[in-house]
Order: sequence, then structure tokens, then C-alpha cells
Amino acid sequence: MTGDGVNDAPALKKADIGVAMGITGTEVTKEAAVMILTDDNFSTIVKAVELGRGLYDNLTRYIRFQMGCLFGFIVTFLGSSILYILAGVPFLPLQTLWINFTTLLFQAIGLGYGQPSEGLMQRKPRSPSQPILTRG
Amino acid sequence: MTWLVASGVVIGVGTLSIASWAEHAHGEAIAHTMAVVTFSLFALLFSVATKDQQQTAFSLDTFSDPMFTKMTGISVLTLILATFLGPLQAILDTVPLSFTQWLLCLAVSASILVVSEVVKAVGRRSGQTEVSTTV
Repeated sequence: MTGDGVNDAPALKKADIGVAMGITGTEVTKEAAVMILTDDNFSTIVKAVELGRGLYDNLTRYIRFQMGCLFGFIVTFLGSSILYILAGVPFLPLQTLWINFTTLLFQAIGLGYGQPSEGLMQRKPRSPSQPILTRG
Repeated sequence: MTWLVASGVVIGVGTLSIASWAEHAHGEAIAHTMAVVTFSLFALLFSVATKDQQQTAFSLDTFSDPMFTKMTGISVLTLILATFLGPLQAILDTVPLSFTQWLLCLAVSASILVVSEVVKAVGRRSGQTEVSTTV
């Protein structure tokens, strides 16, 4: 729902995404809206969607990476204890910290702050209730 | 989630395989160092694999991202320094590895890329065109 007048405010509030006009819109409308078009240009919505998808893509990449490495740590330490490899201590404490504060940290930054994937805008919309972690 | 758990298993099994072999073949010090190197390489290659859930990691786009490329370079540098720089060796209890040992760690850690590419290929063949931003 897009609007600029005071009478649009209830609809903007109720909508999944309320979009208010930044120049011609009233303050009431802007308060009710989730998104404000500062240039009153509808095509800016496309840019906003692109930025939002990029942010979400980076977030999920970061979470995927961290969770995968976390499971890797769990399996490594658990396996080492069960099979008594390196006396149950695969990495010394400082080595574990080094891995976490170098490789894992730098790669997480690279994924989280990097460029979004190609073709994001060609993908179908995602349901708002779709969880980040699924069974698949 | 299943894919993430599977990745963790691949990483864990690969790291422990190297550690176990190195412990018997070369002793504890080299085993610990090779375990650290293998796990770090696994993490590095896993980050390359997870960068795009649909596109192959073996494309020119993988390293077209300046931030990701820079961070990967720093990760590689810190990993090498951890095994070759004297002060870091003393702090981290690591020892220098031979070229063959490095190659072995890299070969085992590359398995995560292989598994990832197979999963992506299956996904592309089954015609997954929907948003794949789920984990």
C-alpha cells in the first residue's frame, strides 16, 4: 500500500508493507508506514527491494557458514574424544582461539559484508514467515 | 539444516582423519598443526562453497567480490604465518609443515567443495528456481 495523505495512514498501518511519500506525505502517514520514499519515486521501491534481498542474502550466507563450521567443531571434538585421537584434544586451546579469531572471523566478514549473489531480483519473493533455518 | 550438519560431518571426519594419521606417522606436534591447517582450510573452502547456494564455486564470479577476496587472502596469510612465524609457533604450539603435508591437508579439505558442488548440481538439475535463501 502506498499513500501520502492522513486518510491513507490506517491502510498503511494494516498493510504488509506500507509505503509513504517522503516529500508530499504527511507526518502521520510517514509514522504509519514501514518504508518512506524520500524522492516520491515509485521506481525507488525496486532499489529498496534489491537492497533488502541483498541484506537478507548476506545474512543467510553468514549464518550458513557459522552453523556449518560450528557443526564441524562439534564433530571434531566429539569424534576426537570418542575415538581418542590426540588424547581427545584435537586442537589446543590457543589453536582453537586462533582458528576462531582468524579464518572463521575473516571469512564471516567476507560473506556478511560482501556483494550479494547474482540474480537476486530474478528470484521469486520469499514468504515473510519463512524461517532462516529449515530442515532441507 | 541437513546440509549444514552434513558439512560439519565432512569437516570433522576429514580433520580427524588427518590428525589420526599424522599422530601415528609423525607425532603429536605435527598432528596438532595439521589438524589446525586442515580445519582452517575446510572453513575457508566451505565459505567459498556457501557464497552462492546455486552457482558453482568454480566460476569467475566467486572472487569478483573485493571484500570476500581480501578476507580470504588475509585468512590464508594468517594460516601460513601460524605455522611459519617463530613467535606464533611458540604461542600456538605449531610446527612448520612440509610441502607434502600442506598438499595433503588441502586435498582432504577440498572434499567439502566436491560435496557442495554435487549438492548444487543436483539442485540445479531438479530445477530449483525458487528463492534459495533458506539455510
